[in-house]
Amino acid sequence: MGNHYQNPYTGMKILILEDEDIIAKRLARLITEILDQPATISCVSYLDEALEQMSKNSIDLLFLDLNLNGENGFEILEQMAGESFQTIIVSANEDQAIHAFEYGVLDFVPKPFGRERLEKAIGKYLQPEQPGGQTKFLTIKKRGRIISIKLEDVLYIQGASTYSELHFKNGSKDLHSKSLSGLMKILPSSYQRIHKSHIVDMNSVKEIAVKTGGKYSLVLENDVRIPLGRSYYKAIKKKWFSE
Amino acid sequence: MNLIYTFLKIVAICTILFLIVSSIRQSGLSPHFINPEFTYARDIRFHMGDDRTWSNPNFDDTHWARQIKDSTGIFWVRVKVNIETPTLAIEGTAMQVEFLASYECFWDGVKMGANGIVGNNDEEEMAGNLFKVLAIPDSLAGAGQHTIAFRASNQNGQGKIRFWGMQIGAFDKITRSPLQFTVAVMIFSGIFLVIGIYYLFMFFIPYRKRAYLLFGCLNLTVFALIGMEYMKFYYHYPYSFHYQRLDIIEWISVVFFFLLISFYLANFNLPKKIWIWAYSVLFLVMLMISNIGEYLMGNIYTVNHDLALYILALLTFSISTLVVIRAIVFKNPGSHEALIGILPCFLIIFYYDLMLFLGFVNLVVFNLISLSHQLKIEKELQQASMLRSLRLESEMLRKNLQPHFIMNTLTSVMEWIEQDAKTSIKFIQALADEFKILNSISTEKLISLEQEIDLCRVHLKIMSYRKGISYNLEISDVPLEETIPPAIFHSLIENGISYSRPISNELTFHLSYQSDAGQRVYRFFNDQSVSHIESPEEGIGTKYIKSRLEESYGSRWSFSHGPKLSGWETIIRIPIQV
Repeated sequence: MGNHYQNPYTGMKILILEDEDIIAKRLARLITEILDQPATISCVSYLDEALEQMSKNSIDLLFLDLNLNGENGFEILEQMAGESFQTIIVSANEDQAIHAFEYGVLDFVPKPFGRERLEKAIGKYLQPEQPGGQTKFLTIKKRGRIISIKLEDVLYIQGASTYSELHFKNGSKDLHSKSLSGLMKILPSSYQRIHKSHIVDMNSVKEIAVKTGGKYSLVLENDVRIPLGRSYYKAIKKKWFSE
Repeated sequence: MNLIYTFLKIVAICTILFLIVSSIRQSGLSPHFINPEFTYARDIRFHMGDDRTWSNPNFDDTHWARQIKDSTGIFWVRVKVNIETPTLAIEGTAMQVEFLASYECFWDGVKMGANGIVGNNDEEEMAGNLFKVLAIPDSLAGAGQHTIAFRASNQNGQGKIRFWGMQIGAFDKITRSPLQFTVAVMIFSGIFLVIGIYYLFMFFIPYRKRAYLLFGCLNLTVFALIGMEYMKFYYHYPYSFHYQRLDIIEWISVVFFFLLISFYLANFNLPKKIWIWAYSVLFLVMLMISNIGEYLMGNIYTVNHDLALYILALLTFSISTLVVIRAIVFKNPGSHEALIGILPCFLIIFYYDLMLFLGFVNLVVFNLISLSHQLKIEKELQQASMLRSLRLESEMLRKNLQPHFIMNTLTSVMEWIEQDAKTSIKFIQALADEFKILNSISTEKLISLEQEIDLCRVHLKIMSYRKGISYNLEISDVPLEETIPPAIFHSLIENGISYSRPISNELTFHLSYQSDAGQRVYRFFNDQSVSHIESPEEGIGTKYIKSRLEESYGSRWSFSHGPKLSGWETIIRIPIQV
């Protein structure tokens, strides 16, 4: 686990999509102060500029204003949520927070914000995976189209290099651009990493099965069996199976 | 509500039917009061002059005139009556006479009584009453033929002699039946009196509507008309007053005709031109058939008074009906009820007297329904417009209190406080200015262009600080003292800032003015901006502007917008200020 702290953030690429000049400057200034490490921060005011930037260089973190020049912020969000990077919403309308979290954003920073609040949001990004999100939908790109799928339809998630493979309860599967560790940061707390390449919803786990040779696996609905990593066994047993 | 309304209409129709039926039954009891030509009076003998012996039943009057000829002086009227079965009533027999003269009455030669004093001239004569009841002694009222002779004078009769006849019967019935009949009439007239007073109160206290004043007067006129028309039954006035009474009735009728037409014209808001037409037609016809017409044009157009009234009534009802039909075509509320009110009037003018007043009852009741219906709709509209004004006021304030504006503003303030305290002071000052203006105009429906432009400028200042873009407003030829609904251009600026994308860091709004065909035309344009998003057809800002225009100008405005050159153009047309 310690590996996660090994400076994978050097040269972190951050994009700020905000149409208010002063606020964009404020974000950039505070982020620089908070990060205390080299990072590339760019500010854009319009969606097309943002998309252009993203197509040129991949980014790690997006700060998104939901009320952008009269655009529908949620349409943009839906588009961004399926990407590999994490998104932090910065918005004046706090009542949009619940809805935004359902789309799988890392944090929702209400305006006006001070340094502390922004620090907390960036902290979420820097921290190791710690489920506790309120995501209800996952957005995937399929043949150029953006599709929202219900998280409750997902049985388990398997890591596949920098992206993930969603396995649905009906047996089908799809790819998601975020890595397992990226997803862990936005998934609700019932989701648990049980293996270096598997996440399951513990609500759908029936039991722990023990195989010969001290190998463990979790039995899910539909009798699907997922290997349970040895290093995860103790913690999971304590957290989910102790009376 | 509609159910109750329909129910009320049915009740009104039933009440009127009941009144008509009961009145016809009532009048059936004593038909001669409806039609005062008695059979008795047909066989009369008339002679000018004076001789006491003419009272003798045996006097031979065969050479006397069989018809009364108008003249002035002392004259005699002899009537032969046949009593088939003498009344058995304990209170005895009575004779009721309707005669426009002073007279002494002889029954088979015996003087039975007098009505006034017969005289050779004005001073000598004392006018008798039109109605007179004389008691007949039982000894004279036996079965068989009787001769009744009147020694009469008509010094106050304007040269006319009117003998309408008499009725003989049980004393009780003779004296009471006119009053019984009058009861029904008085009930009707009470309706008109109360409604008349009520609508005068309605006019003078809560609603200054001309139609209410006219309707009140109309009802009081009908009340007066009934009072005068049926006066003879309850007030046995001297016969000399009879001709004045007829004149009064004629004048009241004329007033009624003008009031009825005016009421419909006012109630359905007809243009002045039609008022003038209606009045002219009525007045010209009145002139033609009146004495003045006779004087001016010879007597080709002159008609007797009854026919004149009939023509005027027909004309009045026709004009009124046309007005009501126009109201129906224009879908004015209450117009259908008004038609039900006026149509039966055409039928009833053929039957004067009682039926006419039943027609009035119908007219008034249905116009009452019509007026209440209108009042209901007016109230609803008033309420709706009040609500809209309140909604618009809160909408305008909310636009500037909405989180998007406030929270972004506060975030900018935070940044300046931390980074550039001086700018933060200037910015807060501008913000305070905008709120001051908003506060001062929030409850107004119209504000001066000067105030509006101040509001726009201070808003642009705030947005320039926030967005780091230089926003400007250029005005050309705009009269600053004229008024417009508040926050109209302010909303256009908000839209402009949201939906346009300045190429350089500068965006200028242009407001220009011109007057065109009695309208004020404001052109609002923002330049050198590429609208990167299609402006929504009915965004909140546009809806707000349209509601404000409707609130102040009804339907006399227009709003259009669209891309023009590289910018966005909005054109607002509103009426010239009076």
